Amino acid sequence: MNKYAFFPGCVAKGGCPELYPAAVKVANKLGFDLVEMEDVGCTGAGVLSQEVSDPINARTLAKAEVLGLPIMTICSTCQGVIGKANLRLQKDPEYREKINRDYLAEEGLEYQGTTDVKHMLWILGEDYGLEKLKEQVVNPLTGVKIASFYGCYMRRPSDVLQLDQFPDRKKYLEATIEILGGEAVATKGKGQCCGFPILSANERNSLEMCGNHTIEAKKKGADVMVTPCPLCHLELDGMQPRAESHKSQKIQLPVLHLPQLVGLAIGFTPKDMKMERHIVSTKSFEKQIQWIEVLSKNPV
Amino acid sequence: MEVTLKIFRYDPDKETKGNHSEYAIDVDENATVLDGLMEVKSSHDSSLSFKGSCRTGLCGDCSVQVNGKGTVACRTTLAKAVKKGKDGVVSVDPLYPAKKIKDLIYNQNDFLLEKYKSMKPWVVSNLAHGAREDEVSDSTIKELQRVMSCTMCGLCDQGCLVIAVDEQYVGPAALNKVYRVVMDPRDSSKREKLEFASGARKVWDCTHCFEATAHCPKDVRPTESIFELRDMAIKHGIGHGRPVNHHKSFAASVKNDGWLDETRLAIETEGWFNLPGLLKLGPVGLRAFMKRKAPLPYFLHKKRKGADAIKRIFNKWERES
Amino acid sequence: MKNHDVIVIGGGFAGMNAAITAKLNGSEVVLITKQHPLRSHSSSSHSGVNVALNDGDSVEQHIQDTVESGDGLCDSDLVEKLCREAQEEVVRLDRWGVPFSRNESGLLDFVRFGGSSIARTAFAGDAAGHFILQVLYEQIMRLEIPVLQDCLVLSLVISDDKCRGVCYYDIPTGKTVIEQGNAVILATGGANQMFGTTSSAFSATGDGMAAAYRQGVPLMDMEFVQFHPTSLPGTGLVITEMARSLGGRIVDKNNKALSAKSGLKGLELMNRNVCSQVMTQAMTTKDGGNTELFLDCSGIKKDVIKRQLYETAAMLKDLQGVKIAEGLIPITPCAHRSLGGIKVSANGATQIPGLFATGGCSCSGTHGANQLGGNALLDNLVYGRATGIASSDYAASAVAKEVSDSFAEDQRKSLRNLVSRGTSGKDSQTAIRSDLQKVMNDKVGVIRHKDALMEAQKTVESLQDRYDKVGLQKYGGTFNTELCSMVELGNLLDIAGATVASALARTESRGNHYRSDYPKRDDKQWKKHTLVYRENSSHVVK
Repeated sequence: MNKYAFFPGCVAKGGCPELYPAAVKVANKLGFDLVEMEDVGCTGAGVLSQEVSDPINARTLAKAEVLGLPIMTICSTCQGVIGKANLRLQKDPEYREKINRDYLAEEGLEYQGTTDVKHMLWILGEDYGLEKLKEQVVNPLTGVKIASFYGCYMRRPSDVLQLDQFPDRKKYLEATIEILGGEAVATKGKGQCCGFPILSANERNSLEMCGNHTIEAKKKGADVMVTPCPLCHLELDGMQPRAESHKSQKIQLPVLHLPQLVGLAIGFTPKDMKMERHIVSTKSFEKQIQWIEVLSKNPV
Repeated sequence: MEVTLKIFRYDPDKETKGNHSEYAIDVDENATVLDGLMEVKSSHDSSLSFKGSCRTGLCGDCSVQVNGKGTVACRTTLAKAVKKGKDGVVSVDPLYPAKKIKDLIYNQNDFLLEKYKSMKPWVVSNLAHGAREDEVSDSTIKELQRVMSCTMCGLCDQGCLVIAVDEQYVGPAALNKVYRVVMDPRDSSKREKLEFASGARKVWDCTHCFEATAHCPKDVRPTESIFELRDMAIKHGIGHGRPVNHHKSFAASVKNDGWLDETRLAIETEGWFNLPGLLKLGPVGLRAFMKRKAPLPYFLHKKRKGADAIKRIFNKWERES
Repeated sequence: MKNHDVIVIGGGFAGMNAAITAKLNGSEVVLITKQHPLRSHSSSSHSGVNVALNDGDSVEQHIQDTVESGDGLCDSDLVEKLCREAQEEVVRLDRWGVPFSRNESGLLDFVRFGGSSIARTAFAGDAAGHFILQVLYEQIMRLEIPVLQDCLVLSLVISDDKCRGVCYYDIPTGKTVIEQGNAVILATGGANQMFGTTSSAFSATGDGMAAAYRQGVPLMDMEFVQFHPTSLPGTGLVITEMARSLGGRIVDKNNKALSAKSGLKGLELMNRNVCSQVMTQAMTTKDGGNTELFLDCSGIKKDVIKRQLYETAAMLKDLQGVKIAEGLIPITPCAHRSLGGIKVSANGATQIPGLFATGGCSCSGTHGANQLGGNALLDNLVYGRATGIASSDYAASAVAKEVSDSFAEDQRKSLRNLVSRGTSGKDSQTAIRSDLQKVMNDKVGVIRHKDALMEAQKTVESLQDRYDKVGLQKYGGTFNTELCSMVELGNLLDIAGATVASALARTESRGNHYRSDYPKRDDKQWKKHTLVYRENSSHVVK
């Protein structure tokens, strides 16, 4: 049984409101039992000082510990930040005790360091299993060229990825694409920064990154891009029109959240996945999969 | 051990573009890439040019790309490099964002050392102190030693994704050296350094993508150093403009509601009274609004359950720091 | 042409410290270096600086240890200055931000290095050199001292018997140019690249020594080459004395400690010369073959390694794939420090007005026949500073005089001449260099003998003849490193000649100079320094 303390994060319910329902629908259909953590705080996203985000994250981890459940995230940034905090707290009992004493005791909480934090992508790759996911595929994305885009914190720093235990964590996205029947398009940019974190500090650099990644994927023949990180989505989808004018060229690359891509393959409609909410129209891609469906039901 | 090195050769006095040449050499089992280059120079072509000095990984001079990956040549054994080379051939190239000068020599100055210098990265000591050294805890010293272990090898700058799109960005190596100064309890120029580092194309331009930390051959962790610089700047009330607004608004939002209010964040980042900036948000916001890909408007943003607990954590932290 | 007040050549500890001092003393200063200062050999110093601040230590005790280590040849006034000024220098460095490791009270922590009677060496993990170099360079930047890098010194500009500047080859552009100044400080470091097994950086080719030597300045005590006991065979990369100080033992292949033999108790922390000599004897079998020795660090605790040996541990892991505290690490003595060098007085002045020298390229007689571990860095600080002040004072009263470009033209001609010889012959500069390193290793190493030294002398002479015949592909151009190594080889040959001649002359054993044919110290004849002069291309010891 895949039971998780679900940590949706801020953006899945804020700037990317389509992500949260898509993730929940997919998780339910795959039979995950999600207990949503409603009374916990933002991870700090690497913006807040560690001095304050570590206690906030320790609180989240402690609450999951009480539930006796591992945490499921659906955002690379959430995963990276709370994952790194978890590592610090697990590795250094003195530090953990200090935070327990100074910040958590008041609420009667104490983090003992046993909570596991996993992104939905890792859960599919490790707990649920891609082979099992394959069995659920009803609309294989045959022939669709899909560029992967991880988000920094699903690639670095390596200690948070625990690559020694899970050596394939840098490959799950492509593996998932292939299992869903699609064709993974390898890009140089897939593990790089999307540009979102510097949108306010240096818009030009941010748009340059957004433009480079989407153009590269497009050039390599991608029909669509998929990301497990809603912040990357805000940038790669939301800022794409601006990147187009910055780069003076049309890009028009639909960008999907990971649960949306999985959802389409396991039988949800684009509408179920709220794809109409994207900034860059997903229509071309939707037509492509409709054709696949038609063709698969009426072989020539 | 027999090895073939495929080395980038370029002589600006003769040609406009370089090319690769292969050299077969015979070296000891423990030989490094730097030893290999020396061997090529003595047994094949004495005109091969490359940098290298201490041979022990402390001077930072011999950074090159081995098999397409930035590395310190004197600390990489050929035996290891062969395993990762294509068809057992070890390729050696200059670091890439830097301008190529000759063979494996590239412009370390423009790419790295001048940027370092531009950050005014020196300790201004407090001369009022006595004839003995200042008291500093060994744990602070150990942390300083870790951060100061940077040899200016340039590998983090090669990995930096911002430099890749903006050569003028000062880069992680230089910023780490600023952190080295401001974290030093013996320095008395903290504020000035932080103000300078908060200027354009410096700390706030970092995407905190952790490439710098991932590329560092030591345990310097430049990405973390940049985080620290930002925190220190905010704590000292230094800096202004969009990145600092963003930072403050983010903190205020989490503090008050437990989670992020993105509408408020967008508006406050521009500044409530920055009309041109707010107008620029218009098209983005409108586009998002039309598609219903938008957070709830500011006034509808609800507090999370547990917001009070988060606020308590914030208050306590603020009191203590 | 611009006339500088003070030109400093060399960007290691001594050169940067001299430059900083001269600048603070009011002079306009330019720093000319063969490579960026951060890349200097000084970076690889793992050890630390001696300063008598530990409980129970005293300046007098430091003086006594230094004198004893010098084996009867130290100039006592100079030793006194060295030890008395140590505190001021070290505290200044600390205040500039060198992360010297601390004790529980937050004050300097110390380790005991070979030859010291007490823990006296202030350290910074095992990378003091790297940290100090970085901090000195920070101050160079703060004081806005311009640095001309990638400049290879070709010759000193001497006119009217005064040093008025320096002629160098600008490596990036391939031009031979002159920089003119009232005072010139040579701080170019040692010449141990003449040995095959050395801890020295590639840059240690005796450029400054050779330039002064060719101008008639004598080199002093050249026979005293300090051999570091524990380096990795083949590469000469040093495993710091810290390892022995913290409990590392020198053992044979059966893990039997060398110090178990009678009279060798405490061998690990004896003076470096003694340790290297004992090891070399132990490594030579009765039939003249070789046997290996090892360093056993298994007794050093993990947290101690993390605090004081982390760089060494990382180096061993990367280069040998071994963990420092597991198994035996093969070791051999290596040429570590040139104790001899350009003869200077207490303030770094040479016999040529306007020419100063400090640091590894100079020799004042402070350290005599062996340098106490941890005193080298201190020397660079105390005497680098003294030299900075003296040169600055000299420059303030000197009268500038325009220098003719003919000095540079002479150098250009001789470099072009190398090209005209062509490169078609079988011989090459790299072959000569490797033969030089071999003969110096084999015949002028830790244990010397007249026969071997004579052989070495003959070989070096023949190498010089070969050198005079090989040529270059071209003069000038961008980063013509072939030309640079050719010039460096010429320097190494000169210094090797001077070293061998001095070693032959001293018919006794003292400090770092051990002669198996004269195994005793001979104070009657030899309680004095050697001076070697270059006269008509031969090396004359006086």
